[in-house]
Amino acid sequence: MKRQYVDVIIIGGGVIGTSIAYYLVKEGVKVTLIEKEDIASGTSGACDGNLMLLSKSPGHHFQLARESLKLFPSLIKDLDVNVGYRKNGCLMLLETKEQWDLSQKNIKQQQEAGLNVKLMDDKQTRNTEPFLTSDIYGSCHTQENGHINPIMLTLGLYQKSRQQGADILLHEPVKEILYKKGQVLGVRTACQEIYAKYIVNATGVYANEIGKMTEIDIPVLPKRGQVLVTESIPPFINNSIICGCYLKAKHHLCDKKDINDPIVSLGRGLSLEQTIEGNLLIGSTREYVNFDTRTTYEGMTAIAQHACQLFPKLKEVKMIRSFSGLRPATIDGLPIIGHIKTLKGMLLAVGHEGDGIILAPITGKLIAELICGKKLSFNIQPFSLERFKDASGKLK
Amino acid sequence: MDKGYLKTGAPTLEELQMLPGYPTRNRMEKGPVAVIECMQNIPCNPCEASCPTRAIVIGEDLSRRPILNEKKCIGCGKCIAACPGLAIFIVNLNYSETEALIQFPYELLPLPLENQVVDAVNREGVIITKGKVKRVDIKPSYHHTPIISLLIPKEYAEEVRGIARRKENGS
Amino acid sequence: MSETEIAIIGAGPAGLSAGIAAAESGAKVCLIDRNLEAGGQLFKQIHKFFGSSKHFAGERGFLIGRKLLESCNKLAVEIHLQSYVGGIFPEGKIMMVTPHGTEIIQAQKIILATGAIEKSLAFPGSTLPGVMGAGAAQTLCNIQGVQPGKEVLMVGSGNVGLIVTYQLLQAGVNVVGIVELASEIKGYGVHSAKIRRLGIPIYTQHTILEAKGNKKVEKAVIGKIDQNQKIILNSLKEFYVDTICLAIGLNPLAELAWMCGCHFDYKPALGSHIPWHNPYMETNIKNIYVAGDVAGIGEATIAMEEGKLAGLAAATSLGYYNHAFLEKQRSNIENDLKNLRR
Repeated sequence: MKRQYVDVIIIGGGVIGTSIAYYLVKEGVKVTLIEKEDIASGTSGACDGNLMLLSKSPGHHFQLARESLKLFPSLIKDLDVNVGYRKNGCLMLLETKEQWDLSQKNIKQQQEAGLNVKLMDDKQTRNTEPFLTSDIYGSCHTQENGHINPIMLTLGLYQKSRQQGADILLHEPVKEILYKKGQVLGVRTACQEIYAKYIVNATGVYANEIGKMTEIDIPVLPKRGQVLVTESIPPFINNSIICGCYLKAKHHLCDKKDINDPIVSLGRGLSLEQTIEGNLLIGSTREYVNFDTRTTYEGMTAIAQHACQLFPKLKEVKMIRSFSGLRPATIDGLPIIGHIKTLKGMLLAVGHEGDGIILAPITGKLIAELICGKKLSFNIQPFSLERFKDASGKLK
Repeated sequence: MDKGYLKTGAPTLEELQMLPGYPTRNRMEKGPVAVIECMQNIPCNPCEASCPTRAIVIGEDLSRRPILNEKKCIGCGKCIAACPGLAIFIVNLNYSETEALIQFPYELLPLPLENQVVDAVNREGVIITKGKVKRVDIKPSYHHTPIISLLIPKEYAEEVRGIARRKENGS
Repeated sequence: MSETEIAIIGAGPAGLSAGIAAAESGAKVCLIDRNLEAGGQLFKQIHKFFGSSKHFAGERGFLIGRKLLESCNKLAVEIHLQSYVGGIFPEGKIMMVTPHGTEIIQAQKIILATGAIEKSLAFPGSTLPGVMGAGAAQTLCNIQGVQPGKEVLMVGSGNVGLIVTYQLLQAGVNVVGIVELASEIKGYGVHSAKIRRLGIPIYTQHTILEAKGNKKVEKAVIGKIDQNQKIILNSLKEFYVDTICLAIGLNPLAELAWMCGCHFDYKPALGSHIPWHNPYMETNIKNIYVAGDVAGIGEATIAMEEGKLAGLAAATSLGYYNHAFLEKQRSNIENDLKNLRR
């Protein structure tokens, strides 16, 4: 069996793994990235391209996303592919009085956190989005938003990392993590053993499968998001759109009650974006169905109905495709970034749920800083695995 | 210049004379006989089924080229319209002192009229002589493939395989 | 929501044959097709088909279509027209979009007979009106009764290119020539011979370089290529045409198979990525069958045999035929297919 020695092994060829590789090779670190299928073949290849701050709850999550968003312009300049990056606005639609009231408080916190966001009444909202239904309460709007092609971003990061010396192995699943006395040694695949001081688990929804190889539970669950794609149409929306119940769906789904409610789990996290090519991407459901990536009639109908309620003209637009992707979800909606205390050399960069694209640059940068022993550009304490554990060290 | 049906689309006489479906000159001089210009191994056999004297044989393996037993062939022409590839002709060098009679399928409108003098073309569509239409047969059993019988000077019998395309208003 | 035992998507030669084979057993069958009429591409095939005289050989395609439709009608097979399938979902749930709205059909067995789509080609001017698929031109001529243009250049010398050229001539359209990139003609010699007799040149080792024109095709430029696939500059030819037909191959319409999660193999000879199927036309996803061009590009005669086999197999697995019968039929069909595929 072949043997190799490198500095860092990254497991996972999605946007997070390739971003980590990108920032590590920049520091001159010898990196091998191992992917069981292909680049962007999982979550990063089956998601929308919103770079959204408005949906983040004020606090660490919001700040982390904001830091990451700042990294995009220079990062994109450095990549050799066109990732379709553009800045646009983001509009959170408020459909009910309840949402309107809730958002008053939310918006204040966001403003305090530094987001340039304003509340608009129904008239102002419709001026911004002429195709919107008249049956609307108002909206929150920010100009701090962006849009990108997630697959091209991942491919761009992959290409650049490889150019700068990263060794990238595709279609090679990790069979075993080699470790001894609380220290990682390397990994074994079907055809080789690779030894390294550090291993980064960037496997998204498969985080726990890798975790189990070292008998460490990583509380990341696959959450299915179904997305509809329409035919290409002239500019239809001026902003990325999310609905007011987005936040609720995003954060409250782990309540048992909500999971069983089809309306909450299927249609209540509506987001709408238009690609540069003109296709509308309408998403998304949020369902816990293990690793089933099929789309369902119920899910698509729920999304389509909600979208048509908000934008009645959509009834005339043809849907051409649907897909679903698995979001790596944690119970509190925050990613897990950092060392595993109980296993030296093992790092986690997982659990980004629907925010992997926007959080990829900062995640890559932070992991590189951790491994190179540099001063961290962001406090990662709130993202540690330990937050899920009780005093005895067991998962809560 | 490229030659041969694979390069130009039109078979040469040399290519055709190698075929198991191409009769001898001697046989043509004795009277009407089928000339099967089927060059490739096409999975197809209606010609075999159409022949009342079993002069055309393909056999179990559909993609074998048709073999003509020229002694059995009576030149009845039933195979002309049966061939989906429009690749079978009847040639009769025994028609008169100077003329040969050839029969071929022609699926374009307008059809020529009987006794009309028309431009006769070779396998490349080049007009090489004049011909006189003897008959135009349209029979239900031909499934909408008219068969034209054309009288041409004898020396062109192995060259002429059709008539020039015609405009709606005449020749 | 309605229920059926066997749903067949696509009512072309494969779908109709599958429908007949299954319905003859007594199974409840429904066909779904997005076109105005059933028959797929059969009704525009006005030429006589090759094949075995045991089957339909020597018959013109549209007449075969009529026979299949008659059989379906006799067996009272339900056919949903102008209805397309927007998706196949878990547990055999078919989303059918009809002119009256969306309906759900719950099926125990699903046969995908969705056919194929023409490949396109990009070259300067290829987006001008007047550039179209050869199949599209054939539909205009033979179904709609409209000439696609007056002067046509055909790109591609496969059987489709040769046959459509011949049919354009029959429809009174002039074809200035056929362009073929390869050094030899791709289609059958008998097809090429019959259009050469009509005076149409075939340019092997040539390629289309440009379509010129103001808002529509007015001219086509072709050029000869050398052994290294480079264009020989002094070989350019211009034709005054209003239509350029592309007959450069077909791709299986396999989206529904992808959606069902079928395993695909890459088979360039059969057109592209093809859903894997067992000897009974069933894919790796249980209860999902494929037949016709979606299972590999081929002639209509092949599609009909495959459709029949899929229909028999689906009906057998529902208990309508016994296995010995299916086995016998399968071995006959397999034999025929072996002959036809040569």
